[in-house]
Amino acid sequence: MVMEGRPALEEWFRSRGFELADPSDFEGPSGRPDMAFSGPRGTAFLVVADEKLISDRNYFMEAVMRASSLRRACNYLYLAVPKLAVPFVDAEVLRKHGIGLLMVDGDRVVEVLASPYRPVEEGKPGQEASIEPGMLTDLLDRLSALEQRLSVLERELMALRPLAGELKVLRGLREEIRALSTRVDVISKRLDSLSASISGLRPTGPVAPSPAPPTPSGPPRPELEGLPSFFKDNPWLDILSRRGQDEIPA
Amino acid sequence: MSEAEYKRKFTFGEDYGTSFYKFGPITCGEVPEVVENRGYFPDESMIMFQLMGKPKEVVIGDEIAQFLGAKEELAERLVYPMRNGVIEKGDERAWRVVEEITRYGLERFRPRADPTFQGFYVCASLSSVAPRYMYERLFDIHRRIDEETGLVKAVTIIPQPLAVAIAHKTPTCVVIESGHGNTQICPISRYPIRRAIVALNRGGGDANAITSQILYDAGYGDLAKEETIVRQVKEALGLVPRNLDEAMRIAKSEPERFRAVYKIPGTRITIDLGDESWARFLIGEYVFNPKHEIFQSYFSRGMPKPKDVKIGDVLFRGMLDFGEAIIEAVEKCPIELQPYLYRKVLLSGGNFQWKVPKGLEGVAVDSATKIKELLKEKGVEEVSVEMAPEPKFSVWRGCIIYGYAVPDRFEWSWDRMEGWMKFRP
Repeated sequence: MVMEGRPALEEWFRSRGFELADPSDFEGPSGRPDMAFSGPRGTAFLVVADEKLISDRNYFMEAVMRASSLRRACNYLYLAVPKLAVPFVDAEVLRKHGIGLLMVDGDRVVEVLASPYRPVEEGKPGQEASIEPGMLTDLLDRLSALEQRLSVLERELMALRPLAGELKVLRGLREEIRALSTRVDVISKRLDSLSASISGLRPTGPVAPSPAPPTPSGPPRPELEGLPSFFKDNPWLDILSRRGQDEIPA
Repeated sequence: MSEAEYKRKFTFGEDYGTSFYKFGPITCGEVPEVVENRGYFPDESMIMFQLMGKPKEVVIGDEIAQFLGAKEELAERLVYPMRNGVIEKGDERAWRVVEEITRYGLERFRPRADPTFQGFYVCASLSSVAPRYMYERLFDIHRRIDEETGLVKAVTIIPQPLAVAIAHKTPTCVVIESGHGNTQICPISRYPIRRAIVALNRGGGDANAITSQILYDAGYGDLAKEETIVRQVKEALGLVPRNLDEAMRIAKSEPERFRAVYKIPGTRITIDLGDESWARFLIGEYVFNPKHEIFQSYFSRGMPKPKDVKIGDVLFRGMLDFGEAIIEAVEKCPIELQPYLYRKVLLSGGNFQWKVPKGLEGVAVDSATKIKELLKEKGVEEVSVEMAPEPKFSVWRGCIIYGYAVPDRFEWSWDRMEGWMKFRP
């Protein structure tokens, strides 16, 4: 039951000019509503259902029938269901029987289907509403269609399960790549800082006269791999990386 | 992402050469993209444009071919902004072309769908004699482009000779960059030694001028007016003599050995200098040393003599020979440094691409040998002169290395004329 949604339902009706009433005041042979409201525009009854109607088709039918039996005793009648269960409610059945539908989503109430106004049949309070035989057949037909729809959905869900496994693997890979990328960044920063420290240790010497050009030697620097050939053994890379320090151009 | 990682992807080189703009990011590898450094200003009153709508203010790249009309209007509408290495301060059309070409180059390499991209580290290169206002204008152009496109994270500008030295892995040297309009001699010792730069008002264009005169004298007056043909003849027949007097004497005594014949591709025209073939040595000599007395007769017949001109704060010398110019530049540097500078003279630019035909070795020489000869005449012996391999791309390569290696934290300094200029907060 969406009992935790009661304050929201009360607020929703209150905002429309209804005040909360005691449901027992409206008790009849067919039972009583879960919540009742009255106001200048008449009375409104509310039957509350919970997520159980997703898995239990009889429960939905019972709720509809219970609501339907109260139809003649109030001006407005609503079935309140939690948000998750809304796709499983056949609005056509409710429309046919003059029942509105309210969706309860935490503190939020949304009128999915408005309840039409119907006059209360005076002098027959609590009179058990008769269920037309055609209506029951219709309900059962619709219930059967719903069952079929649900079983199709279940099959589709089962087929999706292996994909969910693959998705999990992909998510894992993404996390690993992120972690590697972070490591590469860290290593790269360390290399830069090491390179800067080494440059700082080298004596810069006077700008002019310059000694004979340094002869490059040794293996290529790893950070230059993959760069064009004119980077290889180029003494300017060290010279230029010290630009902005203490040298003054001639 | 570390600075080094970022720059491995997004360092961008720009070489504003006299004839070509070479550009592209580090990811181009060994060779950049090339587009002619020129722009065309269409005549908006043309009927074609009235029918088809207003054209762009300036057209660059391959599109220019669609607009080329009569020769007479080309001179007026086709602008080569860097023809002389220096753009006049108020030459707004030239600056407009530079801006359009720069925008084209950067947009050409805009990364697609790379979330890490925040703009290129752009290293541009200008002539070593470019005055300060050229730096200011080029920074302004990049700022505007960045505001419009977000393509420029930081920009710096270096002199072309420094870029050449960097590309050739030589921290101490003299770089001679000779283009179409002028020649710059720039000593370098880890930095360009700006106060020692010598600029000459002479380049490949002057070799064209004397080639044209030689064609005229040989009876090809009609071809002498065609700039493209003159350039082809210069490249095919022009020779650099080891010693001009000696070369002329030998060539006159063995006319068949030195005979200059050139067939213009795709035409029926063959140029044959015949008995005047010795004159092919004048073409090369004039570039290196226009002071030889033989050139006086050409000047007296109307060929313009290279003059001293001042552009901005720089004096471009007209008649200094290359040997004198190198010595003057080196002697402006500390004495202790001078031997190291002579030990590596790097020649760069299209004006040094002279061939030595088979059988003419010894009489005709390459540019490096000619420079050594000129220096030797003046008493400088221990010299090593080298042609920069692949001179066409040297400047762009130097720009890429500079942009990659100079730290981001080094901000532009107008005193040092180095560092990164940034436009964003």
